[in-house]
Amino acid sequence: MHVRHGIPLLLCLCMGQAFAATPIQLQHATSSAPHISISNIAGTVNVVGWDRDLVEVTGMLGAGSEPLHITGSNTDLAIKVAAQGSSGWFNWGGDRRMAPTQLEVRVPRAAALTINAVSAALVIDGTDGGNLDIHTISGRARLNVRTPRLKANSVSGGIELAGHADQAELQTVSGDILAPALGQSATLQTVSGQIQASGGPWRQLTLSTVSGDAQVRGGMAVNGKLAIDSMSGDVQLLLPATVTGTLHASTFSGNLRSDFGSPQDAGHGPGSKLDVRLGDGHATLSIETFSGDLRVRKVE
Amino acid sequence: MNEFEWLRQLRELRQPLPPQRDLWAAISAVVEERGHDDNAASSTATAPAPVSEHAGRVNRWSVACGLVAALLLAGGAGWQLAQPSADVAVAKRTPQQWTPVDPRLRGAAIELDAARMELDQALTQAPHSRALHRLLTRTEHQQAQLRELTREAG
Repeated sequence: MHVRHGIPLLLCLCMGQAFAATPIQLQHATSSAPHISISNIAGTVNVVGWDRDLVEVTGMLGAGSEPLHITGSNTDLAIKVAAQGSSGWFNWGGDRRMAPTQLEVRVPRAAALTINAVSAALVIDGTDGGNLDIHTISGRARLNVRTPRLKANSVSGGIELAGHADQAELQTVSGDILAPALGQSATLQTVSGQIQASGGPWRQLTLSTVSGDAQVRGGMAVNGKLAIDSMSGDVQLLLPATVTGTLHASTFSGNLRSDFGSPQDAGHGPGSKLDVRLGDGHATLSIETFSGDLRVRKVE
Repeated sequence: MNEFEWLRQLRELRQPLPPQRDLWAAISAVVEERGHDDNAASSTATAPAPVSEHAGRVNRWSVACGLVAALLLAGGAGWQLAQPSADVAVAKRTPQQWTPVDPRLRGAAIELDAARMELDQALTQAPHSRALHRLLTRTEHQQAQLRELTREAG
């Protein structure tokens, strides 16, 4: 009788053990500016820069994960969460059987980071000086960093850059891009996400959107080049009154309005274009939409 | 005029437009006048006059012309339906839709495919648009990246 009651109880305890998360406590000495690669599938990845030549990983490892280790040398380290018995760096079959993992990673402030966060929400805070290379699928990336080069590629997760990136290459399919403090060079691309970006003075800005709306703000460098392509997304470009260079804007069937010069309607059919010389600068600004509305505004 | 232009014009129609003057007084007056006319007609109704031979010929011609016009219209509509439309032409150029097994990637694959088809359609309207060609190239590049991601996923 006691045995009959005891077996289900034991089974429950075993199952509870199997699905329980495991606390993580790992450390590894590093150089002052190492390259660190971090991978997670689901849950969170919080990376914080600190003033020590040490990587520390805490958090909770989801059940169904392989045991977690820090691998590599002092200059090049890897922290990778993977499902037990999975092939590939993420795998839908294996990932479904794995519970989310919460990773808290402290890294030297000048570390360069490569992060693969499939569905995990990613936050990076306080790193300064290292390049960042970020890939997510549905996880949102929030970056409060200063970096010479940022490359972020997301499918449906949004990308938010609160810090400063001298060169930024941000790309999504449907995720939004919010980058109010870009440097002088940026390539922004989306299919249907919204883009809101400020920065400059632009030496090079390339923005393309198929159907997402975009708003860009910033002045132009002396020989800067700005190119914006949109199919049906509305585009708003905010330029300082002092901007100089040549501005070419055109739309096939959208509505074009500009505080710089007067747009001219096409001779036959819809659409309009604007060609205007602003001062004696050598910057070139080219904006083209198919059916999206286009607005060029003068701001103080 | 293409569908994007229609959409843009539809967007502009979202504003409420009040009439410049009150229309109801004129409508009411016409309704009242017609009511009076109907009453007068019913009270003075007489037997219909016999149809003359000339009027009968005109009626037969009218019926024949109407029939010919209807046949021409039906024939034209049939011919139009038999022709492949622009949409179908675009769809034929599109390779078979690719659907990843991983549901985290499936939505993006559909989105990219739809974007590419929209760009194809837009290019039929503006074949010389360099912006559309660049967007198409970038969208196809993103599709290739997504396929690569699926392969990496194992």
